[in-house]
Amino acid sequence: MGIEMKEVVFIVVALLTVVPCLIVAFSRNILYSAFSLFFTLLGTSGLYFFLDAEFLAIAQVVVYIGGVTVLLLFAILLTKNIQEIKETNALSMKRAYFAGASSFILLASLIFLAVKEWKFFEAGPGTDYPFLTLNQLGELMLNKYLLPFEAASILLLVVLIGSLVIAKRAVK
Amino acid sequence: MFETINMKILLPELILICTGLAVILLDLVLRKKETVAFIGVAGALLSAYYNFSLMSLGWSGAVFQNMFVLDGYSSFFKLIFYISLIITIFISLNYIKTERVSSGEYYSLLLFSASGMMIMAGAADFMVLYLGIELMSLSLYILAGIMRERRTSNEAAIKYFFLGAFSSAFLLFGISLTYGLTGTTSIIEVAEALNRLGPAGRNITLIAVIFFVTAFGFKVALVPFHMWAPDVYEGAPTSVTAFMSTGPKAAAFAVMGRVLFYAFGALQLQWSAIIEPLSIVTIAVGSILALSQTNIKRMLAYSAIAHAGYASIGFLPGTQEAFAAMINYLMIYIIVNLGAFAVVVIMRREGIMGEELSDYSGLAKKNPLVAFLMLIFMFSLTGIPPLAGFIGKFYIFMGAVEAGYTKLVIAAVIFSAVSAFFYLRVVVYMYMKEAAEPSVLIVPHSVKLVLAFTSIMAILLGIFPSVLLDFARASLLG
Amino acid sequence: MRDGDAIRIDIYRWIVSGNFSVSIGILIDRLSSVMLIVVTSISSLVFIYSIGYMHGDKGYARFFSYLSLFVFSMLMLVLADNFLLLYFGWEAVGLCSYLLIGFWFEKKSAADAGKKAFIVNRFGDFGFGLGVILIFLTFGSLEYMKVFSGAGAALGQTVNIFGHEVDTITLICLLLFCGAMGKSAQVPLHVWLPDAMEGPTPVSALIHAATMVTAGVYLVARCNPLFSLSSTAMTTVAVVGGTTAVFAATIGLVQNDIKRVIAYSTVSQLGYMFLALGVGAYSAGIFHLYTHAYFKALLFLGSGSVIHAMNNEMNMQKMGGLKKYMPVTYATFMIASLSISGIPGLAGFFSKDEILWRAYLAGEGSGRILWMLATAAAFMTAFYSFRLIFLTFHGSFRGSAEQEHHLHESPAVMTVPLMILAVGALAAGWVGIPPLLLEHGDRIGEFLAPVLGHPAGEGLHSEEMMVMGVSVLVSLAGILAAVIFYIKKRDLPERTASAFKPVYTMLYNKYWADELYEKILVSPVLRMSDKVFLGFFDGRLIEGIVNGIPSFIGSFSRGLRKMQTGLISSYAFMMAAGMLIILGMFFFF
Repeated sequence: MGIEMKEVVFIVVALLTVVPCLIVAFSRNILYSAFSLFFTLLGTSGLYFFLDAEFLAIAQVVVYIGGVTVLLLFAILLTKNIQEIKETNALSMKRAYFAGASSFILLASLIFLAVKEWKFFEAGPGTDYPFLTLNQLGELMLNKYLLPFEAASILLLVVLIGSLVIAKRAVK
Repeated sequence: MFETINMKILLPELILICTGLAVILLDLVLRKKETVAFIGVAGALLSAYYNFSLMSLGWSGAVFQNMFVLDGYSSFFKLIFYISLIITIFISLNYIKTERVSSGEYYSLLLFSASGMMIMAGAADFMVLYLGIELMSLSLYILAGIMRERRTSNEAAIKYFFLGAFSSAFLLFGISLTYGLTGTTSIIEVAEALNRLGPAGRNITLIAVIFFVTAFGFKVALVPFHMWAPDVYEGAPTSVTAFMSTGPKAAAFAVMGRVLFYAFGALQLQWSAIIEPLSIVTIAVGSILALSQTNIKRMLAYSAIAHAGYASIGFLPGTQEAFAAMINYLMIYIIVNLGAFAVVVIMRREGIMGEELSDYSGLAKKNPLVAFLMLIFMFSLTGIPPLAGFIGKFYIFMGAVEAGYTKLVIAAVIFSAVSAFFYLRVVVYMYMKEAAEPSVLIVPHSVKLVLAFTSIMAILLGIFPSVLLDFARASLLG
Repeated sequence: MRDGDAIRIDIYRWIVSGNFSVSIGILIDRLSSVMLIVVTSISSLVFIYSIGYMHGDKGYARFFSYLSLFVFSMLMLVLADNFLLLYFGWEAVGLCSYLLIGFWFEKKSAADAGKKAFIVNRFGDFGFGLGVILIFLTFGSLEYMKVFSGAGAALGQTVNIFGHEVDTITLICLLLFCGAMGKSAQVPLHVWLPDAMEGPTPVSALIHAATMVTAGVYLVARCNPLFSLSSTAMTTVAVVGGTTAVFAATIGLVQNDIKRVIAYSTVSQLGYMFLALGVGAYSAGIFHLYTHAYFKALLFLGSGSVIHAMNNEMNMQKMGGLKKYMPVTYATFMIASLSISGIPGLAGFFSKDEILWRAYLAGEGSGRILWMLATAAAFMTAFYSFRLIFLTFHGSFRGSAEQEHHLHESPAVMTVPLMILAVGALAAGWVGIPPLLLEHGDRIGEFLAPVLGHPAGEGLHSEEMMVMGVSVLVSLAGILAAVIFYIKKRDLPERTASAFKPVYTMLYNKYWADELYEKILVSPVLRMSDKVFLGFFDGRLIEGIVNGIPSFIGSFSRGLRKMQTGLISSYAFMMAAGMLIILGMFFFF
């Protein structure tokens, strides 16, 4: 059995997500990083499609690509001398190696455990996800998930106040 | 279609959030800025009144399909938050005027932060829990940096923000792992799923637990997740530091207890084994590092770290009795700590920072009453009988000894003796050293009220410890 | 109460945790009710007296707050129904005593005396604290009832100390007695009490004569079920008591400071009480405590009245002839002196006689020696008491003209308490008239019997008459000697002093006890406390630790501090590393 079309597309989308991600982290040019972020977010949105989460995928495109990335680019363009900042912070290489190694160990152990207890995953109750229409989603938001929804709105209000506090001129 | 939602249970939180909104709006209209502070206090009192009248009417229960609960557990913690909030508002009145902080944003953020804590305490679902934590933390990040023209304040805010975001990542990782394992975010359902699964998948669950402990350990400042605390406590406005070291700490303990006991109760032995080394290392690092501090806020930051270590001993036995001792300890600690910070706050005057230990020289001559109250707070934090701090520690230690953690308790007692050095150092400065320059200390009426309340409680709870402990026990039952 | 029942009220449980519980409870039985009478009556009189005595002092409010705190603590000590509460009361009265001795802390001698009292009492209290801990370890409880009822079962238990098996009960008793010796100023821990006279005189009367210093006596009497089980401890108590009685009396013979004479008299009388306790006559000890409180408080308040009139002059050699200026003080002082000397009919006679008789009964050999010691002390007591009277009130005034002009009787607020106390000094002993003289006379002994038991031993009536007769004779002889020395032949004291120069010098210098302690104890302790205790308060020790001069913690602390770099990245790194270590702990080790 050869590789199916769907899987080829998945691999392409996954690469589209991961490779720019590395550029975001390692590029010394902040403009390149910002543009790479655009592709990473786009890739993530693609991954959501694979998970049958269309609403989330579209929201991702609208909010992150349409909003956040553009804002980020504006901020970069409006900041003076941004091109000159090419140094990343003074993290010593020893630490970087250690951090890399330990993240790898963490990931490896997670995968190891997941494989070891694979049966458990299959038996898990979360394997069969119901397909949700936008209507149903909206109903859930205003019914079962009303509290997190409202809490998130208060959270955003606090963010607003926060930006106000930071941007406001000092009182007298 | 829609289930009938029992909104009454959410009333205390709603009142507090609405008060926060009212404060920020009224600040634009009202001329006298203190008024908004009193509106905040009134809102907190009203919220507390509703919370406890709902409890006494037996209205406790869950809403939104077990997303949020009102029970004895959350009510006890909410009492801590109310005390912390109201006292912070009182000690802020004059302080933020001296620091020229605009009152509308300040008080509304305090109120929002407290609402976040209340949501945390009542959260029965990881989503609500996470949003509660973020609401609390975000308000605190801004409060820490609210003195924009001071560099230390900005630095504190930035550090707190980045590291807080980092810890949120751990929390989310833990939540998503748990969700992946059990297919639910509800705390009760997680517990049911874990019981159903039995020993299968224990190891992966344990990884999730470690992520949770890391995230909560950051919030309560357990070593090695404590690094932010001294810098942030020192840089933030003192009144905010007083708030941060009390309410949010207790809130983090509330969610930690909720998650560990209710969701991961099946892994009690494992998480006890995680917390055991953390608690003793925390006590050790907090006590030893506090020794070399000369800034009182930094010293109190390390003291707060050590106290988080003592409190977390209450988790180890995994019994309700030990947990009651822990929340009893938290209540005592926050009251005494707020008292101590109230003194630190009034030491700040026009032109004098009042944060260095040397600023306390000769305080006993300048203002004997304030010096004496500070002595009571320091003695209580040390745990000298018959003050409240002794009682708190005593029950924690007793519970741990009964559960067989004798060595741990011996070590903790030794560090408790070490801690006497830095607490009494303040007393030494106040009573044995001569003041550098004569300057008057004005104690505002609001702070007088706070000092009276906290010192009386520090003494009374020491002499009549069973009142609070019985309340803590009863709270855990329902 | 009349039925001999004890009332025990558990006010509330302070700490309850598993098997361990500490309750705040009070116990009122016949013993504590006698103590209550003493404490409340004397303290109320002293309060009234102090209104006049402390008038115009700038620490007026502070004085009364300390005094009230003292009374509260003393009542707690007396009413406690367990050793822990007793210990709290014990330390609290010690604290008040310390504060009140150093009340005029601007005066260096007062501050030093306070410090001395504090340090000397540390020795005793250390033993007491150990004793309480040992009681808890042995009996598993600190409540009197449980401890005393379990005492019989604990008999024969031993504790291993450095390889020696020591009887537990004996050890407990000796440790408790150690505390009692400190608080009640018994040899060799007596040195602080005479110096404590630096405090205001009402304090000397209340704390350092009538109440606090008798706490040691109360403690031993309270623990009589334990002490009775250990003959070693009993002997120790009796010997220390007898020695102190004579030792302090000899010093009292030659002192010139009016308050110091009375202070040594107090030490001596406390010795009497311990002597009584040591021979098993607990009720006699408490009886003497009770009568002593009245006449000794009277003596102190009277001397306070004199000092007040003399404008704070305390040297008796500069007084004289005050009789005509201060008739009320003189009359009451006279009653007190007659009482303490043991003149028949007055309070002191009955209690002292009871002790002498019990000592006599205690055994052929040792009892006789104790009796002779006590009788010798009685002679000296009579002598120095009347020496005091004659030097102060008789003869001609030897002070300056200005002082003479100033002489006056004290106001009524001071003299009325004196008169009330005089009634006590006169009549307080009538509750304990020996059965020999009055049928059913020993009312107080019967009253205390449910708590303290009956003293063992019966003697012949003829012997008892003999003891009583000797005691009266000796008292009269003492007074007579004083008359000869200080009224008839005024040059005799001088001549005697020079004839027995070495003895006089030794007594005048109080056997050089202070100097001896200075050499072997106090100066090393002070040197040590300069480093530890005072250094602690000066902040030097703490500074030392923090600056880490030799200390491990200090350098460790600074080492740890280096990790606090202030960099966000390193903080985040620590967090992640910490989490990984925990993870590793579980999955790789």
